[in-house]
Amino acid sequence: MFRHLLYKEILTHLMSLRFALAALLCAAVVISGIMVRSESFYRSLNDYNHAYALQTAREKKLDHPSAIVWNGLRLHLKPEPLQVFAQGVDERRGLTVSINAHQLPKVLAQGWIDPVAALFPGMDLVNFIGIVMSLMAIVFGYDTVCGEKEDGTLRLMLSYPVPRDLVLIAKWVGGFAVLLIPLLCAVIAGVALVMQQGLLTLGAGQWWRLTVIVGLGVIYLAVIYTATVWVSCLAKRGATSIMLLVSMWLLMVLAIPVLCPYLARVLVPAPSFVATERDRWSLAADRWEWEVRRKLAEYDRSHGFGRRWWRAIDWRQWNSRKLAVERRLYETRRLHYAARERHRIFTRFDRKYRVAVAGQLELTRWLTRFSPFSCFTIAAAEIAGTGPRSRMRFLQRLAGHQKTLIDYGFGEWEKLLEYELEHQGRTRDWRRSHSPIPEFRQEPPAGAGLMRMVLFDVCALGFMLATFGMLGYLAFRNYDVR
Amino acid sequence: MLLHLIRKEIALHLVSLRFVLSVCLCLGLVGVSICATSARHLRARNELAAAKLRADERLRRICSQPDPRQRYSRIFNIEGIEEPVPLSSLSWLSQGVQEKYPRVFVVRLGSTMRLDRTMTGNPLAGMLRAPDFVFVVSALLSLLATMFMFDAVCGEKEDGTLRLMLANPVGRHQVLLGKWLGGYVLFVAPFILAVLAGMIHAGSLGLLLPENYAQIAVLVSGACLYLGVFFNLSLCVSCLNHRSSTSMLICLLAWVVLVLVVPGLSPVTARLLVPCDSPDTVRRARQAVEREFADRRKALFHSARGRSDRDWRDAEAGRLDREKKRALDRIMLTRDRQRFRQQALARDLGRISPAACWTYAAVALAGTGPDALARTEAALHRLERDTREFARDLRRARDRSPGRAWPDFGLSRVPRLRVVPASSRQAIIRALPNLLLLFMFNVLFFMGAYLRFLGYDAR
Repeated sequence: MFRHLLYKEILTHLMSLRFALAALLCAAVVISGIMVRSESFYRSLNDYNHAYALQTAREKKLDHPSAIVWNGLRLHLKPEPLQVFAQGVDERRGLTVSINAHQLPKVLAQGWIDPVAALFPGMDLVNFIGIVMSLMAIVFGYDTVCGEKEDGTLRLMLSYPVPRDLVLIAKWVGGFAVLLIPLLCAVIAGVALVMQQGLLTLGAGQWWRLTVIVGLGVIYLAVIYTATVWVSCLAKRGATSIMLLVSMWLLMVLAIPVLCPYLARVLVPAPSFVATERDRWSLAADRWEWEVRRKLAEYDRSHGFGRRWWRAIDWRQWNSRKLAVERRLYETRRLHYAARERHRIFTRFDRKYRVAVAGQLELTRWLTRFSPFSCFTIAAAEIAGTGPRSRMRFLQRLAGHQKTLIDYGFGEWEKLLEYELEHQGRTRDWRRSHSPIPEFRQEPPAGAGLMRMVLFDVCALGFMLATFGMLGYLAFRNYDVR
Repeated sequence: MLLHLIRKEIALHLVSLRFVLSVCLCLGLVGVSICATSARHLRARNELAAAKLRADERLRRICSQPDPRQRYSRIFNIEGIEEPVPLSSLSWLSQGVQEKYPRVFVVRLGSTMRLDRTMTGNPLAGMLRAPDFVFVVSALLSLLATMFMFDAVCGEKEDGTLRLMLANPVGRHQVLLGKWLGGYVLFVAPFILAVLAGMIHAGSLGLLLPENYAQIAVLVSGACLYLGVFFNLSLCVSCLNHRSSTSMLICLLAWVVLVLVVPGLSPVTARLLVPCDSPDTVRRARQAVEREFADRRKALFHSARGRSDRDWRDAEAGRLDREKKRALDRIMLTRDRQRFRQQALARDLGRISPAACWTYAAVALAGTGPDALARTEAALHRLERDTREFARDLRRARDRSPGRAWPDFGLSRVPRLRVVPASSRQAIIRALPNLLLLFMFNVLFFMGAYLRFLGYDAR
């Protein structure tokens, strides 16, 4: 009996206008979206490769570690291929960060912004599933029960010896399966096309992540479809059902996820970024003054160094120059210590600011968990490595990398001066003898870390699915078919 | 008779679930949106003022140094001129492209850094569109408007009341007009109320400036016009169908296509139709030009090796430099032209959708659209040029002075970023074509509904 019911449901949906429209939309938007975004990814990967090669060449030309300390380096972060499917918190592909020993790392903005694309950002797969397919799920299911009641076929069906739970399950499975067909076909076709054209290459881990993202999308659509079936069991007329569902959709998909971050900002205000920066700089400047200028002045006083002494140095004679090199070594060590202190101050202030922002983020996540759309998009973005927590991790790693660069730059500088002192003024060519410059590595979270990041959202989706399913079942058991 | 029909429509809607839902959503969404964005704007404005103060103080500190040479090198080579990018006074109504734009420019001789502070705030805020007034009207209220009218005619046919109504001596145009007017007034009234409440709140925060009244009035009228488009569209679809479920399906699909798909696809389609050279291609073309001129220069110096005429060689080298600059400028000009053509096509393609027309009109009125971006870019180019010229003048003055002493200069002579915002009149004129298009959409859909309703089979 179940097979008959399922067959009937699938046939009804397959022959309906809504299926044709869903198939058309999926084919047009998903395939073109994946292709265009992959092409754009391919371009940004080329740009990244070029910028990386330039940066490597520039690093090879560096002749003294002071260049790393003062001018700094540019970090080019590789674009993430999964951003094609889940754009996440930042629509830029790849990033360029300017980092040195004495300032906060600076994220460089894009050189040129396409104003039309900025006004209407294209839709990635996650947003397509989250917004358009959820609306399609509503269109597929809003009259599952009440529509049949209006047509009078439900009464006829229930006059046969068929249990209600079987009818409901058949309706759910039939409708949901037909909803998934155009989406999955379009995703497979889109991915196959870009792979065939060589625009996108995914590793084994990325394939797995993409599968999980699509799987999450299926769970999300199941939640929406189940809620739709539930509302359809509550309403007596299709028009009432659709009105209720569209209002719920507006709130859950468009209103709550968009408004909550702003509400969180109002409820948990973070300290002003400019004020934080001002305080940070004034404290850092004081410490710099104390650690470098005053200590150097003390050193000069105790060793009797003055302007006249500097002028009297004969730079060709090692005996005359030695004191100057010793002083320079002392100065470098003070600078090293002061830079570390400054970094500590920066990080302390940064932590204060970041704790407030993390509070906002947590509140936003709790507020938005009422919306299945947010649970899905945030979890998908985290899996793709483009989510909010991934960004926080990236910023923390960046701060850690700056500390490594400070130690590396000053350490190399001190080693050069020590070598000069040990070898009676003989200098070493740093370009040939230095240890490799530390590289910034950003690996997306994997395994247990990733599971921890998305577990709550996945559980929330599962909970919603079970709740709406139960509610739908209870509502249909008592549904008046007359 | 028309009055009776309007009264009937209003009474019918007033007791319906959709009206209650629309009022709640309208008041809630518009109110929360204006509260959230105005609080954010206030904060951003204060931050901007503090950043400006800090930048001024830093420049003043540099300029108070006694050695003009150090002043020169710190301003033009080391620290640069730091300029926070100004905010539009109406960005609380429409964020536009401002959110994606750099927050600070640091201009040095030969290089400009564009700093981005979007990495510092709540990352979830950047994941979707900003919940500003324009977004609420464009995506949320347009869907409500569509849902308000999708069964205006076919629903009555299904209930059997249309047949009864048309059995009375009443013109079909009157029926349609009555339906439209009754529904529209009832839908727009809570929206206007919500906007008024939002404006009072914004006024209490000091965000309502007298010079912006005209822009705000046009913006709210434009919103009503835009909502009218979806009202008329669903009315037209309702007249085209005989079952409300089919009508609803088509209306929803039309909404998805017009609001979500077409505007997003327009820049993509424009990119495909008018391809623009990628940065990589431009870089390669520039490198090729530079290589070619380096070879020509080498050949010139090689040929001049035996000659004693150094003036001739220098003149030729100067000519080569000028030629090279022209060739490089040509490459950049071609790229800029391609970008401009692509943008224009994307804008025109997007105008198929009323949502895009409304957004273009709104961002033009709020001063946060492509036009404002172009003004800021122009101001930045002016600042770069002034910086170059000022530094050149200082160097020339140093070269001319005996003992190559650096000339003295104060803070007042240091070039600054001056963005000239569009006036109220300019903003309204820029928004007018898009508002006219919205009006045309209204007329088109209403005419479609009218023509279809004239021959509608009410049985």
